[in-house]
Amino acid sequence: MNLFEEIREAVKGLYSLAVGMGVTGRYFVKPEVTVHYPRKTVDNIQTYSGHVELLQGKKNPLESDCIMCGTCERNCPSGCLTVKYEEIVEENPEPEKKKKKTKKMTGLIYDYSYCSLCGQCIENCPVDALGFSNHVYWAEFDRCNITLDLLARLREKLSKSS
Amino acid sequence: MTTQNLAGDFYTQCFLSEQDESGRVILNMGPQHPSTHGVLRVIIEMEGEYISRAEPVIGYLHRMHEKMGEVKTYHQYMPNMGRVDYLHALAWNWAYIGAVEKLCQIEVPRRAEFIRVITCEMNRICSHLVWWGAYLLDLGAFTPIMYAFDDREQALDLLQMITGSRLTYCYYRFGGVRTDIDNQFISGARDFCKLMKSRLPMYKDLVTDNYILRKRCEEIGELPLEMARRYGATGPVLRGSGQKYDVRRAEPYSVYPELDFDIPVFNECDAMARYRVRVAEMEQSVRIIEQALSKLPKGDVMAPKAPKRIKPPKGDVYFAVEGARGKIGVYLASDGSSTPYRLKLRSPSYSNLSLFAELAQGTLLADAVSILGSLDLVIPEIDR
Amino acid sequence: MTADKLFDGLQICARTKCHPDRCGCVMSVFLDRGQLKDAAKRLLEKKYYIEDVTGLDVAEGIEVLYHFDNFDNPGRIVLRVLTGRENPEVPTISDIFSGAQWHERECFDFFGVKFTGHPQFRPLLMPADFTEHPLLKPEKNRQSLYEMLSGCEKVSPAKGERYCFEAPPAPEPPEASAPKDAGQSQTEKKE
Repeated sequence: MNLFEEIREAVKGLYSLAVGMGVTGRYFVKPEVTVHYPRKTVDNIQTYSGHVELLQGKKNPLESDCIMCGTCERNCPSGCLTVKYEEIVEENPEPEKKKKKTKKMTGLIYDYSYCSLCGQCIENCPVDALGFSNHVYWAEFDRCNITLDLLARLREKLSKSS
Repeated sequence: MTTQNLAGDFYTQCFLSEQDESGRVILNMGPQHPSTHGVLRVIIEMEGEYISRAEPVIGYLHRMHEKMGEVKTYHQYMPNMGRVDYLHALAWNWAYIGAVEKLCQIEVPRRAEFIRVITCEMNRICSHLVWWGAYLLDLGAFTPIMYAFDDREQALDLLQMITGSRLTYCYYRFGGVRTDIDNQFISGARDFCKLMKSRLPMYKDLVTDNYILRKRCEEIGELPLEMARRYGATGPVLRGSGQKYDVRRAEPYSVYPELDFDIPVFNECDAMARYRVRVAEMEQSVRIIEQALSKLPKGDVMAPKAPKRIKPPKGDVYFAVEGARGKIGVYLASDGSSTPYRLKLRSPSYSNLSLFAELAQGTLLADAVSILGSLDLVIPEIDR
Repeated sequence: MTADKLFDGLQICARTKCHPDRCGCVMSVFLDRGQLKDAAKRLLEKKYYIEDVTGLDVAEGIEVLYHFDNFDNPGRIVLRVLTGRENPEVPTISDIFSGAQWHERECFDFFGVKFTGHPQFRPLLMPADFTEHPLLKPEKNRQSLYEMLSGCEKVSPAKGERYCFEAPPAPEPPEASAPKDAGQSQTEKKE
């Protein structure tokens, strides 16, 4: 490589550098786009699905619509939902007929640490009792604390609002 | 020889035993090396500053997705696909969903097909932007990744609006997509296209024309077409070697035949050619999104006859889509039950990385970083 | 179509046309172990590239599948080699298609198939001291290979070292089981 070419290369390099610095300079005077997280929060995550939760019932606004069929449990890829209920056997006033059995829901245990937010439980729910919570900022230090009882959560929410 | 006594794990031992000339330095790059994008490890035998032999060691992120496929039902396996390749998750979604749809002969409504194209291309731009930023970061340029992530955020906001997540999507369904797109999304997507069109020339000024970058990329890692074929390289790696091959054109699927876009090809075979292919692909993806938005028909987003429980007939199927890194293939064998009999995931990075050993021979160590970056590796996809 | 004449003059067990819109391949080629290398060489000559090598655990043994495709004339071709369950062994094609190296190592990890002549035969994705092969199925779950070929046209009766395609147990006389008819009748059966 002769001297002339070397100078040409250097000039070319310097020119490309100047063009790049020009771009950087333009953006330097524009307002910043990053956010200092704990002090400020962003508002573009409102549509994030968040964890699964039981929705307020449509027929009975004080309870959930869940019929305890277990479809969500079976469809969940990672088995993070468990429906808990107790069977109440009532004596039927007419002695010939069968005893009347009713199910009473005692909880819907949800392990968020395994959930992949795929939405299979929500889509497959026959009564649309489940939905996403849009709750983004939920973090725990301990894995045990990341389990929720969705029924208790719903009741708490309803009692607060009423 | 002293190195043998010091010596490392199983793979290092194997590597040492294949050494023909003793006394050369063995170098472990990774698995925690920042330029390997995750947990890739490369054992390198150095002769001075030059690489005489290299062997990638993978498997640190192996999760056995293929076995999971055999124990989960077709529906339950869907969220796995977002985790195989976290950068272009929707293409993997599509490959799996497409394979099952092909096996069961499920018809997809046209509106859903267009939504798939729009979201998949948007995801492709996101993937290329991350690659672009990270590759330049490997080469020592810090600024570009900030620009890239700024743009990517815009696309992620849009995708989050309809899919509910920002990275590990699980959006496509057998026979359609989960949610319809609304006017807010459509106008947002148009704005994003406009934004990208103004940013791409800026990227060119800022980086592509930069002299320092060109010196790091040009004539580095030359991959002849014949070698790319022997290794089965696909995607931008192949197109950087002058072969015009894109699954969207070669094995047309969905509504891609109706859309007008070019396949960018560069003949230089080096890292810079692969770089240019990806940047040009972003431009093409913007074009595809704009066309698809203007052609978007009205109608359902889920096939009304889509079965709730998937039980395909006996048989096997191979379905391929074009991901950001190349040909994504899903081989699915069904025995007629509600779980797949065998599910094979063909990941493009796997083939693209396997040629690194041959490509790196005789190059400088610093160039190996450039070559690795230009292959655009996503380790979870390689290890599966 | 060029794929039809691809294997002319080579020893193969059987080959069958597939329906690309149903199974994604244009041709399945059934091979014995000794015939594999020649077939692979032919594919390299014809500028095919390797997509992947994978296994399938079926009742008849372990089948190794090689998927090939072409850049200029797309059309996937599958080479299928059946090997026994006891000591499964297939010759390597990594000296022909270098990309097969990793795919074959992966196939060993998952199915325990040994590829003879492989230059670096050691575990790739699995830990080095792991002796299980996770994708092998328990005996009761194995399916017959011949039942899973519904995407292909019927293979006319052929017998290889391990492959054994018997004439379909159709009540019609053998003329009725000509490839085209057989494919159709199977479609009807499914629907």
